Amino acid sequence: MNSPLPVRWHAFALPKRGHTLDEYEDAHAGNPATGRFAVADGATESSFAGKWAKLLVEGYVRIEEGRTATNWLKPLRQRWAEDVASVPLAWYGEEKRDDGAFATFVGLALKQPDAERVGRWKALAIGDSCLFHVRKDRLLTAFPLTSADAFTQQPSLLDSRPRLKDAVVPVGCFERGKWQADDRFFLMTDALAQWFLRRHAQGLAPWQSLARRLAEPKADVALGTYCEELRDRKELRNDDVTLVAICL
Amino acid sequence: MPYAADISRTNPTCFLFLVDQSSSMQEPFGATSDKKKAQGVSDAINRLLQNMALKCAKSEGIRDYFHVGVVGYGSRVAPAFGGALANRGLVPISEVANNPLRVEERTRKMDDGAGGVIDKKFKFPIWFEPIAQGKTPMCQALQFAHQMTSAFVGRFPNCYPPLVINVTDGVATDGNPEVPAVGLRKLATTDGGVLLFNAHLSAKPLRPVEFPDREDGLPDDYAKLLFRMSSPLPAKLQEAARADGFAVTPQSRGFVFNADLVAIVRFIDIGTKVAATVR
Repeated sequence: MNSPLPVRWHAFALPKRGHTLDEYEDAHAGNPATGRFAVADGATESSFAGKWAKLLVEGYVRIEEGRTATNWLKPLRQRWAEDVASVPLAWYGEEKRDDGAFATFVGLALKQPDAERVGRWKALAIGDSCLFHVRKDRLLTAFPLTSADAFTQQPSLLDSRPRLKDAVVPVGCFERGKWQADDRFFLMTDALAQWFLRRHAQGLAPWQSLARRLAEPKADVALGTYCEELRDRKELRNDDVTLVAICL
Repeated sequence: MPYAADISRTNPTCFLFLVDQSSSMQEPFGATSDKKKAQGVSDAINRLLQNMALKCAKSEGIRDYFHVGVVGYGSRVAPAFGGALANRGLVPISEVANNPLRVEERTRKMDDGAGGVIDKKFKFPIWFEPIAQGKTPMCQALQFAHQMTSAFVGRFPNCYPPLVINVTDGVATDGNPEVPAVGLRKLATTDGGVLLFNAHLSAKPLRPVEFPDREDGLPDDYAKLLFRMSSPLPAKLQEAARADGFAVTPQSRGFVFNADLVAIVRFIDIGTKVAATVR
C-alpha cells in the first residue's frame, strides 16, 4: 500500500470487573499503512493467552496488501513457544503451557479505493470476536455471528500449538465487501459484540451509543463509564471488553 | 435466572467432595476386576482436583475461583486432605494446587503433529490415597457437608451455589441419606440451591451411565436412591454437557454410575472454555 488509508480509528480496552489491567487478555491493533485492524480474545481457561492474543493482532496488521498470508500464523506460533519456553513454572503451569494458548480473533483488511472510488474489504474471523459494518445508520454486515443467541461458552479458537498437521484457519470464516466514504467498522470481542447484536435485534442502533461516546473529548472515560453502567444493568456480560472503531 | 452467578475471585464458588472410605470400597470396581473401588475413587478425586487447578491456572499462578474440600467417611467423618492441608475444610484452589502430597511423573501418548505418536511425560499430582475402613456413615457425611457449605454460603451469599460431589458404592449404614440430602439441597445462595451430585461405583461389571433423566433402568436400588438424591443439572450445565457430547435432557440429574464426574469441572463456567478434545 503506497499511502495510508484515509481513516480515523480508536481502540478501547476495559478489563473484566474485578480484574486488573495486567489480567486483561484481549488485544487489539491497527495499522492504517496496511489498512489492517484486529481484535483478539485470549481464552480464560488457557495460560499465556493474553500474549498469544497480542501476537495474533500485531502479526495480522503487519501483513502488507497483496502478500500471501496463508502462513502468517507459523512465525507467531514459533514466537509464542520461544517466549514461554524458559519461564519456570509449577506442575500446573507446565501442563497449561504444553496445552498451548487459545484465542478468538477477527481481522479486517481495507483496500484503497479503485478508480471508481470503490474500496474493498475482507475479514477473517475465528470464534466470536465480531465485525460490524455500518453505513448511513444501517447495519450492513455482522460477521461472523449475526445473533446474540449464537454466543456459547465454547467458541472456535486459534491455538498457539497446532494439533493437526497443517492446521490452518477453519473454513467459512472469511467475509468480504465494499466500503465507501463515511462508512464505519466496529471490531469487538464477544461480550460487547453480544450486547451490540441484542440491541440491534431490539430495533435499536447500538453503533450510535458507541459513536456518541467515541466523539467525546475523553472517549475512553465515556466508553468505560458506559460499559460499567451496562454491566450494572446486566446488559453487558462481565468480561474483558475490546473495541476498535474505524471511520472512513 | 438461577445458577447464572459470575464465578470470580471476589465471588468464588466451592466444591466439596464426600468420599466413601468404608471397608466395602476394597471390592473390585466395575468391569476392571484388578482395581479396587477405593483406588478408583482416589484416582477420580485426584483427577478432579488436578482438573480444577488446571482450569484456574494462568501464567501468573492460580486464580482462586474455587474453594475446595474433601471429606472422607468410613471409620470417621472428617476432612481428608493430607500433608500441609491436613484437617483443613474448604481451601482456596491455589493452596490445593501448591500442596499435593507428591507429584508423580507419568507418560501419555500424543500426536506429534506430523502423523505419528510420541510418548509425552507429564506431571500428575497426588493429594489423596485410597482408604477402605469402617462403615458407611453417609448421612453424617451429608450433615457435615451441610455445615461446611452453610458457612461458605454465609461468607459468599451471592455466589454460584456450592457443588457437593458424593463418591460412594451406595450403601449407607446410618439411615436413609435422602433425608439429609434434601436438607442440603435446600441450603441456598441468591443464585440457587446447593447442587448435590453423586457418583456411584459398583462392583457389578456394568456399562457406565452418565446423567440419566429417570431411575427406571438403573441397575439396583442403591443407584436409584442416589439418583433421587441428586440435583437436576441446571440449564447452563446441560448446555455444556451437550457441547461435550453427553446425551442430556432437561430432566437429567447430576448422577453417574461406574463413571467419574470429572466432566462436571469442565461444565462450570469461569470464562471461555477450551474444547474437551484438547486435554
